[in-house]
Amino acid sequence: MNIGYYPGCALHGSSNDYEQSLRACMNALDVRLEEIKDWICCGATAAHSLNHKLSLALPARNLALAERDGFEQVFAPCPLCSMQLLKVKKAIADEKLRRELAETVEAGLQGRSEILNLIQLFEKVGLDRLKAAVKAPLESVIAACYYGCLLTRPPDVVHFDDFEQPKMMEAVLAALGAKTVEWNYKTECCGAGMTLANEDTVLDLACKILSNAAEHGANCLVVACPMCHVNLDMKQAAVERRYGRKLGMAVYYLSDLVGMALGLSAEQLGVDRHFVTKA
Amino acid sequence: MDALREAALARNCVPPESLPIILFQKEFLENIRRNGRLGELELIGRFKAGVAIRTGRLAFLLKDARLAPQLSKRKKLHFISEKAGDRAVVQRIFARCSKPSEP
Repeated sequence: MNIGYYPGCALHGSSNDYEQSLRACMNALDVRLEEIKDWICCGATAAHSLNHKLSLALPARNLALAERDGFEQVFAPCPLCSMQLLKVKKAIADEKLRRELAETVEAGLQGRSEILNLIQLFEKVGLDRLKAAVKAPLESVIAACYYGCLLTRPPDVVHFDDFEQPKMMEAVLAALGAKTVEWNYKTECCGAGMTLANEDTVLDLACKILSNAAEHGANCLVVACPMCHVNLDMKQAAVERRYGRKLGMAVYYLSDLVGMALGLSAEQLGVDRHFVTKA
Repeated sequence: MDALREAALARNCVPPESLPIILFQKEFLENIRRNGRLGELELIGRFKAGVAIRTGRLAFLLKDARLAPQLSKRKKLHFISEKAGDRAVVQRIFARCSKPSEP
């Protein structure tokens, strides 16, 4: 299976452990990721907050580049990047806006490519195929699946799963032999890109998310977003210091757990580069 | 809401408690305008300097400094960041999107 790949800035920056994980995983599943040539930043929350035109134009350029390269499917592992691409696809249903954006980004724009997040890519691979490929069932894993804000919202843009009670990540983990818990914070916000600019809010939200997962019996948290991972893994020590409680909650990317079940090592997946690691 | 926020920013109406957020977002976009892709260390440096200068909180410059060696050990710090190949087109896109909308 050949898929267009839009890594986004985080996966080529400090979240390169996520890229290592999903590439190892996709190699094992014979999914070939082809990076979109000369992709640019999607503008993220900054463009969304400060400049509406730019928040459409930057992802529009990427969508146009993907279409130029002939990709029918584009995998964007960061939910913010994938939501931005989906937002443009929806916007260019308006013919006048499509023409304006094409002119702005200096490239043809049709909106034909299908945009996939990490969970949808595993859906494409097929849960039966995943199940058949398992070499090391995840019997000791009791996971709290954390979707955060953007995998399922805004629902009229992303059209993914139930936006209040999503279940697809749980279905993937069940295929790997893992258990999952019902808990309260699976679609709450972690503060996302506010890690530097508003740390108080991020630590408060991260503490609630990590604590609630532990209270419901989870022994790990599973995410499909680089920003969620930063706030819940890298900032976990700061949460523990501020709130005076020991959490020690391992935070995995979904691809980490798929990879482990396929028999890949923590080193191959980049799990050894996380901040919180299980002994 | 988004339109009101844009209008408020155009008039420089920023509540003091939101100043770091706005500075961060402006530095983020400026970074993209120049590089096409995010240069994380450059963004952090310019954002921290901006907050320290605007608020007089010089200690903000060193906040989180203890994370740097841990990030480096995990190969998550990149002193030379990636740039898009065609940065000129990115700058033209920014220029077009900065023009006020026609009525």
